[in-house]
Amino acid sequence: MIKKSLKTRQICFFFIAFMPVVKFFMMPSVMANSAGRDEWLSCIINVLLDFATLAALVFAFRNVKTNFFSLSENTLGKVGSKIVYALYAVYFLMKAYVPIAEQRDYVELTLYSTLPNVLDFMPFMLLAFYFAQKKLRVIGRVSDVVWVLSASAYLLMFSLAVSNAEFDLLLPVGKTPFNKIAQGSFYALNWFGDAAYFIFFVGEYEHKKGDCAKSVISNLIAALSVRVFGGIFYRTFSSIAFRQRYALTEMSKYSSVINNVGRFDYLAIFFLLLASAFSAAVPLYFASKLAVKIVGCNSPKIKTAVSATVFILYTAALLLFKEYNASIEKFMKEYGGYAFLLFGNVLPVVFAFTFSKGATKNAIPAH
Amino acid sequence: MNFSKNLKKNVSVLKKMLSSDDITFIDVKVGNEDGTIVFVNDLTDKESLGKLVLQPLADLAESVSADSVESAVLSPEKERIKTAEELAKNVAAGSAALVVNGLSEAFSLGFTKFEKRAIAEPPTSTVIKGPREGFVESMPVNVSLIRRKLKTPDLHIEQLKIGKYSVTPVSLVYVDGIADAELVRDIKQKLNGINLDAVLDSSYVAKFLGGHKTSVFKQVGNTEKPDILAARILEGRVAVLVDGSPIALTVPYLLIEDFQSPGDYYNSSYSATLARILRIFAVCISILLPAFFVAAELFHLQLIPLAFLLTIVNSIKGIPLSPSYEMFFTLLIFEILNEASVRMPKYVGMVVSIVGGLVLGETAVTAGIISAPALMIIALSGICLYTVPELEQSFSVIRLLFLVIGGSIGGYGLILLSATFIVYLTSFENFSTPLTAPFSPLVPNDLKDGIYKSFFAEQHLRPLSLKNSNKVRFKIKEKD
Repeated sequence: MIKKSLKTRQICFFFIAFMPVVKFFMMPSVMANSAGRDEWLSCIINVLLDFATLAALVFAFRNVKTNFFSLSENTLGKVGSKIVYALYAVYFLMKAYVPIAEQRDYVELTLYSTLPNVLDFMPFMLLAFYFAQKKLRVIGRVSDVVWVLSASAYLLMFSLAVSNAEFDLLLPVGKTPFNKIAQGSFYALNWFGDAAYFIFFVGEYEHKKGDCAKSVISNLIAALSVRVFGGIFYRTFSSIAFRQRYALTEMSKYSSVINNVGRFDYLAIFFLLLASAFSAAVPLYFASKLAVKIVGCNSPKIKTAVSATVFILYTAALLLFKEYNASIEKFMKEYGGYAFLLFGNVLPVVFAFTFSKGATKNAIPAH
Repeated sequence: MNFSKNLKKNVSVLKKMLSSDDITFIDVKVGNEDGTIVFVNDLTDKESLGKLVLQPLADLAESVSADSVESAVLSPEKERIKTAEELAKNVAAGSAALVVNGLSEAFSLGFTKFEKRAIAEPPTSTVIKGPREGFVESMPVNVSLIRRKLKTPDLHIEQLKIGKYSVTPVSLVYVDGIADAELVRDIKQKLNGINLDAVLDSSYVAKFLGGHKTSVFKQVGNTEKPDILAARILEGRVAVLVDGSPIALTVPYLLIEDFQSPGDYYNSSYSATLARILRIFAVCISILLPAFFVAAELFHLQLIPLAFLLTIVNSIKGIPLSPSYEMFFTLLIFEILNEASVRMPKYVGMVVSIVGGLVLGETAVTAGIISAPALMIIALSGICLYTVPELEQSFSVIRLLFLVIGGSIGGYGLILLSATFIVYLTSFENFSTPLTAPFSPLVPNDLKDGIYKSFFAEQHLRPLSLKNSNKVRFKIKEKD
């Protein structure tokens, strides 16, 4: 019989399967726009930041067997916790905006030219809503399946693209002014801060010796794949890299194999789109769970109603603000970084060290 | 109503209850007392009844008592009954009844005999190597087939009767010490909760054992082969046999078990693994190929290599239907032929195959109603689905759903639909067992008999995905 909690392996697969893929759409061009050939240094700053955050979380929570919600209520009280939940729910909704919008635009621009955008966007929101109704263990189980698809897609994409990359384009290293590299890093914070998800896994998985290392290494592998992708991307497009808004489809199309047998790289792109659909749905999943926690009702019908309300309002907002998408993306890029840094990196670490002090040893299921 | 000591009164009550023409009442002599034997004419072994009951009763010399009658009767199945209602039920189920004057108890005697089908190889799971016997419609025969495979006192068979009018015997079969006691209790509880007029086949019971009433997927395993059933019981599953059905049910069910053919266990590990990969690949082709082809034709032409694209363009020239309607139409023809070939008498089946498959298909292409690629894709999809016949019903519905989405939203729709199925399947549990184990959640030990089929010597643990109370199949001897 299988126990119902998450496994460390599933958390590792979660980072590998879901986290890198959303960084393959627009992020490489955003970083290249600011930091040019040194965009990889911008990326490394963010990777190290996430890596340090996750390492701190895993270390602080290593002996904690109570879930985040109980920890929060024990330390901050009910009202304080609900404020934290509300802030995080807003953060996750904010965090989901750019990945969903860019995925929607990507699908419209690269896969469809005639289909009304509602037809491809609404099914995604339905999937995300359906996903949000499931228990936390389903995230783990989905990760068990999707990581295989993601990993094979990365390999296929990299192997097709690497032959066209000119590695000397990276040189000289560090010629870009540091403020530009830092700016590239700041602008891309929307796509990072994944370590924050870990706080919702606390107390939900069986902790064994070596688990800290496994979680951190998996995050590092995920980060590495992003780095390799970004590296190959810049080496392929060089100074026009920032114009390639959707790196995913642009990378492999110059491979000589594609010319001979058709765009079979789309198979890998489809796999990555599948992973990215989950990846974009994850923040909405947690936003929905947090909204349910704020309402604080145990009735399944009311839980579904609360979740549905969140999704309906969010979908309406996405549709209404589609006209202003460019402005919103610009705002997120230029100013959102402060919020992403605070909620994605700083607060989780603060919570980890304050909550873990008063943690009890008894596990309480979160969902 | 309790029996009295008056034979005439008891018989008259029984005659009212059992007024059907095929029920026989025979007056007999029981020592120096009168008695009546009641039985259903076509369900009773009259020869044995004469030899084992009538003869000894006639010879009974001592004074008649319930004990003396019971010891005189040579039937191995005998039971004292106090009420007319219970006796009537037993008679209707095929037992003979003996009512004796002066006794306030009657006797139910097991002499049931009816015609049954001979044991044969099940048509749904034929093998090249391995046992060829299959279950039949008779529960005692099926139980004997299992007992022949598992000659252990730990093999437990618990009988229940389900169905208000059918009173169908249903048996729970499991190995004590391997099957989880909680699982057995849960199954029994579900079976006892079935409130139907009649249970005419095991599929009636299967619907109650599954936790998700509206699911398109199977939730209960089934097999017609005693060797497969024995193997599953030894993994910790519990079997449910239903009298009148040659299909035994097994719970908990894992999706992967239908990709494992009975023959896999009698062939080499290499060929079994290859065959399993082939089945999974074939099912993916079957479900996804028609939908992806339509999606590619309508939305993503860049997916198709140029040379192949030119072939397609030439073949669809002049076709009056759009790619999605064309594929629907072809699938509709295939499903009609499939349905007709199952129901049709065998001697016209061959004609239908030729007329339907060759003439109709060829003519439709020549007439320009459908294109050759569409016909080929549906034919391939149809054949591929039958590599896993157990899941054919579920997957044909899913194929249709994928085709609708592929034809309306294209490739991204298919991705989202696949994602929805991934969420649905991974969250699906029955009897606390995830349907998609051992892949999600990943159970490394069980991967030895998942897609990859390892050697028996490597499978020293029973499947950990299932509830079982004894995890170890055999201990590995340490090397010197």
